[in-house]
Amino acid sequence: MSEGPTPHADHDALAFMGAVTASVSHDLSNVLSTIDQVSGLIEDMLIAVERGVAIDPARLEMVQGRLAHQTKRGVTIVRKLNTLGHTTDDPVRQEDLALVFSTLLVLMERMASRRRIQVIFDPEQTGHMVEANPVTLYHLLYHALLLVMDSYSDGGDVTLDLVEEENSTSISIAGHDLASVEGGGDRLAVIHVLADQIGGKAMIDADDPGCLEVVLPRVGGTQE
Amino acid sequence: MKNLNLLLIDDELELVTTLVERLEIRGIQAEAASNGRDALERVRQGHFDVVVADLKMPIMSGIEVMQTLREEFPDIKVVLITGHGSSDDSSQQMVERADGLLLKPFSIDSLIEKVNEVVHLGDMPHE
Repeated sequence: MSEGPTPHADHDALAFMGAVTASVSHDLSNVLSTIDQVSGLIEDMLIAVERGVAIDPARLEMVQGRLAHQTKRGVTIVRKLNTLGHTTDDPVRQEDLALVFSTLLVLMERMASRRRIQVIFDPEQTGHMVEANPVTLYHLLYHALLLVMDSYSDGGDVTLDLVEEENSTSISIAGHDLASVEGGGDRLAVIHVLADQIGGKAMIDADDPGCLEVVLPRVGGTQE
Repeated sequence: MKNLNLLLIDDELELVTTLVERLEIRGIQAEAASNGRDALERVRQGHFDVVVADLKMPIMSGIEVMQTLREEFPDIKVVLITGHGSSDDSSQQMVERADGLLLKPFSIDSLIEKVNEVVHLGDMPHE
C-alpha cells in the first residue's frame, strides 16, 4: 500500500467530486425543469376547468404520475449526493460495496445515459465490506466504472459483479475492449494508484480484455 | 404561430412531452422526440417549421442535429436548449450558429416567444 498520496492526488480527488457534482446538477436541473413544466400544465388544466372544459381523470393521473416520478428521482439524487458528501467525514471506515455502487450508479446515471450504457448490477449483493478511506474508494470505483463505460463507442451493457474470496472481494466490471479506450493506459495507471492506496490491486482480466477486475482486501480477511 | 409545426427534442422525455401538451393547449402543433436520430426521421417524413433541440443528448447532440438539418432542410429554423456552463469554447461557436438559444429552465412563454422570434428572422442565409 502506498504511504502517501500521489503529487496530484488532492487535485484528482477534487476533480472527481467536481465531475460528479457537475453531472448531477444537470440531472437536478432537468428534474426541476420537468416539475416546473408539469406544474404549469396543471395550471393550464385548471384554467381550462374554469372555462368549463372537463378534465379526463386518466390524463390527470398521468400528469400526477410524472410529478411523483420526478420528485422521487430528485429525492434519490439528493440522498446519494449527500452520501457522497459525507465520504469526507472519516479518514477510514467500513463501506459496503453494494451501497457504494448503488450510490455511484445514481450519481453517474447521466454519464451512463450519454454513452448509452446500461449497467447491470444486483444491489442485493450486500455484505461485501471494505475498510478504506471513503473518498479514495469512491474515487477508485468511479474511475473503474467510467473506464469500462468508455470501452463502448456506441453503447452497450456493463456488468458489475462482486465475488467474495478468502481475504478479498473481487469486483468485476465487464464491458467491451478496454484496450480500445482513448487514454486508457493513463486512466488505468490512476486506477492502479488508487487501488494501491487502499491495499488493493486492479488488472484487466487475462481471459477477457473487456473486463476490469479490482481486488480489495475485505473486512475480516487475513492480510497477506 | 398557430400554423407552425414544432418538433421538440430532449432525452428528458417527460419534460418534452409536457412541453408539447402545453403548446397544444395553446393551439400550437408540436411533436416530441427523445433523441436526434428519431427526430430526423420524423423531419424526413413530415413537415416542421422549427426544431427545438437540447444541446446535450445521447446518440446525436443538438449541434449534430442542427448540422444535418442545415444540409437537408435549410429552411427549418433551429433553436438550441443549453444549460448553464454546458458548452465549452469549441462548441460555443457552433451553438451560436443556431437561429435561437434557450437557457434551461425556461418558461412556456419564453419558448413561444423564441419560436416567434426565429420564425420572423426573415430569410437571412446561414453561414
